[in-house]
Amino acid sequence: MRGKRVVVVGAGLGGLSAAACLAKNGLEVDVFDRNPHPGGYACSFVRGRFEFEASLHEMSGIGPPENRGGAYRMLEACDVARRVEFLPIDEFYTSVYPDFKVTIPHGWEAAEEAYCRHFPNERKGVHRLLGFMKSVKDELSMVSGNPNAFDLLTFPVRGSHLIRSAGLTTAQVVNREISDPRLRALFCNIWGYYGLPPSRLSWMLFAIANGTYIDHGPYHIKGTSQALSNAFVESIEDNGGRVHLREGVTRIDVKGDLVTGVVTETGDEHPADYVVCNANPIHTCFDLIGAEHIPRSYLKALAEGHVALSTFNIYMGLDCTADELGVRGHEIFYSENYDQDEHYLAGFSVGRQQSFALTNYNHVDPAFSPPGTSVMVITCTVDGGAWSRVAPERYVETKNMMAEELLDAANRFVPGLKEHIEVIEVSTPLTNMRYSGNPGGSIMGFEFDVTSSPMLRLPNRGPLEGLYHANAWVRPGGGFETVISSGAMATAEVMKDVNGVKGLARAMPGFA
Amino acid sequence: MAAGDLAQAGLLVTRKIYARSTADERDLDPGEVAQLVDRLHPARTRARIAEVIDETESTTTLRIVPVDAPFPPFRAGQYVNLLVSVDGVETGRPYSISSPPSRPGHIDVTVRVTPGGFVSQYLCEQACVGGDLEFAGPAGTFYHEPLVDTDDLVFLAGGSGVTPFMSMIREAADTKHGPRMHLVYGSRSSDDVIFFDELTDMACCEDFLKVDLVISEPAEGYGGRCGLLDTPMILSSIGGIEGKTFFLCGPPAMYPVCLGALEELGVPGRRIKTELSGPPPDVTLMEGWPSSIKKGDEISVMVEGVGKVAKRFRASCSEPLLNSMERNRITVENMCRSGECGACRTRLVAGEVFVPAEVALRKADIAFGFVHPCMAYPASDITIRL
Repeated sequence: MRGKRVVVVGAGLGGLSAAACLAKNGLEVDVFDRNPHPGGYACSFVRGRFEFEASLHEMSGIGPPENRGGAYRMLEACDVARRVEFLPIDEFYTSVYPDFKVTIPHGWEAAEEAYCRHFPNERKGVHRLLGFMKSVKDELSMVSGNPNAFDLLTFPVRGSHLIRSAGLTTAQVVNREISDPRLRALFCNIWGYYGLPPSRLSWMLFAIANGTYIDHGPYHIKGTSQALSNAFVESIEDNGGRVHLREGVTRIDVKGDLVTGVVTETGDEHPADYVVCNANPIHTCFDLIGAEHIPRSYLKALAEGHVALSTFNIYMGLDCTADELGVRGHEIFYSENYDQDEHYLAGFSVGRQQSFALTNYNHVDPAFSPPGTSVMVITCTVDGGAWSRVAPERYVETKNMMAEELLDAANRFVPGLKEHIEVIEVSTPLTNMRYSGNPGGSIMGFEFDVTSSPMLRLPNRGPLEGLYHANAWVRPGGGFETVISSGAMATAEVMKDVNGVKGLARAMPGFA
Repeated sequence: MAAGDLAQAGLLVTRKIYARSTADERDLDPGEVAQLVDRLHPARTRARIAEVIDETESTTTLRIVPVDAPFPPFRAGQYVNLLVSVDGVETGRPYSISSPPSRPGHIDVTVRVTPGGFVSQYLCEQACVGGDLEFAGPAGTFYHEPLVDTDDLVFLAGGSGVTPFMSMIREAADTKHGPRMHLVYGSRSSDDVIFFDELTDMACCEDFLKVDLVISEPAEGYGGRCGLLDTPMILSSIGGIEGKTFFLCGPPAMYPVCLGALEELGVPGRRIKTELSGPPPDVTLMEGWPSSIKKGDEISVMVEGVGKVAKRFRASCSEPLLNSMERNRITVENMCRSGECGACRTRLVAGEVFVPAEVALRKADIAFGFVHPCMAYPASDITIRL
């Protein structure tokens, strides 16, 4: 049994979550990140009189006091929840299609009613679909507490929906319950959050994530996700840990197959008994450790997954209110047609997109920007590969060309939008790469196709003794709630080793 | 249905094994991300001074060229933060790039000596051909944004504030492509006007460009326009405000005058862009300054997190905290040195600081006790954590 020093590589949400849990467990924790602010994607930035949320549209797993979700309970457990204010969003999403427009609320009955409003003949199918979704979500909650022997023995029966979901795509399930292609598209409109269209997206992931939003409702973080990241840092430091910003890890030292510590960009060495990586595992294995120290089977496992989509964002500070532009709702998906495979493919080239999201932050928080102004963000999920091939001297003109098309499209849906833009900032997959170091600028690690659904991803235990992962690329995956969970799961693995747990018990997946 | 689903679940094992066995780690390209990011946004760039051009008595252009990697691209109007070591103090100062992106292979930085400015003095008097320099950036948002700006630009420049406009004007001349530009350039005396010959030549030959020079302290017998860049001066230069986007760059004293004028003329906020101008020359004159604190008052700063030993030093209340830290050999990443970009974000653990009203902090950073030391002035004994 070794000592109790932990180094966490990277202060993205997964790293912060692991650090907070480990500090609360009494370990000596040091977090290192090369950026001047914590959070990774979970941050904000200021331009002129506007502050922009960098990434979060709506947070899952919070819920009202009488129905708290997994994310809230994890934040409570690591002493973060009390430091943050969460605001409930009064809708799940709004969809604008050529033939109709509808707002989908959260809550199982309310959502069912809204989905059926324009498609009354599909009520039975929608009801079964939502029922299946709820069962999957509930069964996951059952196994993600600390499952005991009885839970595991009875799992084949009590987890039947979860098991049945394992090999299916979202389209396979949705299409057998719903026949109208327009309702299929509406039901899966939020696919962009999960990075794959229904024909490729894991049904298990969609059911869990979507079901969580419907059950607990989506939430906004007052002060943006930077407030959440700052709260994590405060909790870590209150519990004896330290977060070192502007100091990234440049090397992880090994002796044989045991990790012994890290070296940071200042040249300082930090011996550690446990190293938890929030940095992506490809960077960790190849750049920080060196591929020669990693078993070849693990390197192959890294090559097995496909890098998930990145984003193209237009952040706008407007000198008028959302009401004055006729924009109502929080998260509005605009689509030119119902073919989500086409929308997905459009993201593989730099140019015209057929669908986009418009997030209207002042809806949930009227004080999000100064009085008389508003903040809106246009988001498209796009592939990073196309952007890696743009020559540096063509970068600005290329991103502006795409932004111009998107702005024109948005202006058609929201007349007057362009004339009121006071501040504008355009981000691409290269921006994501810059701040996160993620291949492809991915916003959720590996894709959530069927073979990379949450529990099939790489485990939180790394390929070497004393090495662990808390990030979007391993279990359970990308997304705010998911990656906070990854931190908790990494903590559980570390604690097994701290407590000298061996054998079968060590191999069982556990949650903190 | 259930049986079919279970069969699919069972097949998953086979699919997973197949995927694993056909995976090839040589398909991974681990260095790609760092390479792509470095081409656009290197953390540091090494450069050499290839030419030193005396523009006026007080102003010098340093023409710098790459040492190893090519320079990253920039947009006309952006700046670089020159990193220098002067009298043993490591510090940085942002300077607008005066050369255009259309002339790759070098970057021009035009520096005017400011009274008491030890970096500008060093750059103007001691920097010489063959000397080495490092910079961070390019960075900044002070550029023509065709997505939202109009094609009719008015540049209000004061003194050395003309430098970013030179980049924009030269780019438009080189590419024969770009918006119309009207430069209204205020200087103290006619000897002080930087790029006088080039600007008057271009104003003659280039259709897109108009130049108005305004002198505030003219010599006896000076025949050109005299005064400040106030409402009547601006209006008489440009005629009307319709369809125009205004860019302002100059010494801190210029902004209240020009912004007041634009407000009076009815220019909407979204049509006005102002460049950062660093710390004010006398912070004790700013709105909100605690009256009990006099210029030259000192307090004690405790810095946690420098190596293993905390460091303590005396600092002046009327000097930005970052400058005091640098005097005491404590360096922190910095870029804009005007309170905006967040590169120097630091935790204020105890004590109070004065922060000028316009400094752009995140709400969560204010709530959790963070400051930007480049534009934070200690108002009591303080403790900070790096």
